[in-house]
Amino acid sequence: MIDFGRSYFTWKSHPWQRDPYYKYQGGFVGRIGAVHQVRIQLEAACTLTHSETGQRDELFLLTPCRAEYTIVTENFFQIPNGEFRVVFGREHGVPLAYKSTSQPDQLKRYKIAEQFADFSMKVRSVDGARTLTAPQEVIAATMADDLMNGRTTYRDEETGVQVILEFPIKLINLQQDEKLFQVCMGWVPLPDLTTWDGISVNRVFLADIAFSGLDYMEFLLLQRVEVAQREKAWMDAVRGRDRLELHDPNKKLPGYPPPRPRPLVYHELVRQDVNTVILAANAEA
Amino acid sequence: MDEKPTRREFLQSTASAAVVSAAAALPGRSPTAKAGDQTSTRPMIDFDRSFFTWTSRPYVPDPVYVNAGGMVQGAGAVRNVRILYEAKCDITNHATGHVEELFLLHPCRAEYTIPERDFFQLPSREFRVIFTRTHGIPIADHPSTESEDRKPRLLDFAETRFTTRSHSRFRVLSSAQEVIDATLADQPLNARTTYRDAAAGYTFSIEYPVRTMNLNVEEELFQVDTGPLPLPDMKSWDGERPARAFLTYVAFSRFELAEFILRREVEPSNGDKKWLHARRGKWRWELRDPNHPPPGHPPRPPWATVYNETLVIQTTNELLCAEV
Repeated sequence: MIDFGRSYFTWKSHPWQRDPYYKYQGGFVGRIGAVHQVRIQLEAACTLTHSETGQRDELFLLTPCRAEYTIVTENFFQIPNGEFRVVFGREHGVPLAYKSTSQPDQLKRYKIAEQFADFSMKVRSVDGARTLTAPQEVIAATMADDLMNGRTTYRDEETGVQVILEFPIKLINLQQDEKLFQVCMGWVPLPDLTTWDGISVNRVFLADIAFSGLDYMEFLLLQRVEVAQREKAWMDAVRGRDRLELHDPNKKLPGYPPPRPRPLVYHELVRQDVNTVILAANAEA
Repeated sequence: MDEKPTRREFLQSTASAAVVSAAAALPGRSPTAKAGDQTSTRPMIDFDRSFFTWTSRPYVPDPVYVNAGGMVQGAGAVRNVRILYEAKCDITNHATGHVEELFLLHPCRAEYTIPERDFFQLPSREFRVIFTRTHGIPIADHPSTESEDRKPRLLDFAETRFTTRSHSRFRVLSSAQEVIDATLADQPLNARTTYRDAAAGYTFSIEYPVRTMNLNVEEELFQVDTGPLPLPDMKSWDGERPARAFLTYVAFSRFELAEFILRREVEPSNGDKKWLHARRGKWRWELRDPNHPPPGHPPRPPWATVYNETLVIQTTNELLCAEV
């Protein structure tokens, strides 16, 4: 049972080099050659295993922050502001797709080792975890304020890939008299198995989940939404540094400028037959 | 277009200057902690093991709406809801000594409870609350420069329980180097950001887990960027509690100043409203009698949210490190 609140991914950047186009590439505001390290808490886990080849890829959704300039003493946040959130594994980084499952894109996973000079993952476990098999046990653990994780497994027949999601249970509803429970919370990384290529996937959806039984789960996916015309005047206005500022305004990348950040909304519903186990442990231990 | 609110605007109703012990602070060194400080007067909250639980009163069907509250189990059903803490803010009234504790809880999506399937209310809206021990504090939808007709709501539960757990061993980090060492040692970190306004007679102190930390080891620099956390709108404070609070992220790279970025609503485009606001499944606002809708029926569908407005406040930032 993963102790998400005490588990972290830490990367170390390569010495910073001048970007050929952008003045503040990656939000970096430091001297050339500087090395940054970033530690981010783990939010949920997703393990992909191919049933025939045994190929396995373990991915972690990291907690979000806001797009920022680093490391500064003022004007920290990039305005217009977007969310910074990533899915990293022990081997791969997999892009988050903020569009519907029916909309393809050109996203590709990448090797973490090529992106960073170094990285480490500290995945702590909770001692004394037990498996809850009946609603009464889930109710008792909830009312005892035990630490609880969900571990959900399903298999995609088309690819032969088994998916195991593990997540901390942050919100749970109970009806004790009727022996009912319902988990509703976010976030989990939902892999797009249509992009499985024998090694891993090329994109992941960000989802909230809900379930009231151990054999079925609903995922509600995040996607981008366009804003009303009248909102763009303030939303797209730059304050402070401009993340898209160029070294040379006459030297632009193809497609410049890229779109400004847009809000995310929950819309598409994905239904999945699953096998969920709920793990619990004494939080005082 | 929003103008960037300044600290002065944020504090305009109090017409006071910040009284923070910044003069004694040096960049890279905590103004409140001394080297080797092993204790703090307050425990370090273990947010990932702390929960708020409420027990509802027996459900009474709403006379107007079929699916009020998303409840599908019928009359008399009693619900318990347990939610993990996300951050906490204490507001102290200097004159009375009253301390109002604001607990920001983790969000979920508006749901129907407890069916076997078709859980989510669609169009989807966020369910997220800030509770004190007696009241719900509205979360602002607008920038701090715009007022809203919002006020605290008395909690109406049969029972509530706040289980606030603390780390058994922790220490206050007194320098950037200690922050760097604790981060790289994978120790859990909390921050406690405090603002004191002597003229207005209050202090608020927000405690939250540091989930993202940037470091430049060679230059002994750190930068926190984390959230969300509740920032009380002190212009609306009545001496006990604020009428609203902002949902914010915070960033800081020294011990005596913090920048907050505030969440607000934004209207989706007309084109995207067509799919975003399309009804699917049960409708939350289905009337028992379609011929007698209440005033304002149906409420406006939910909009999206963005983080945009920033506030820079001269705070005291403590960093706490747990031994695990």
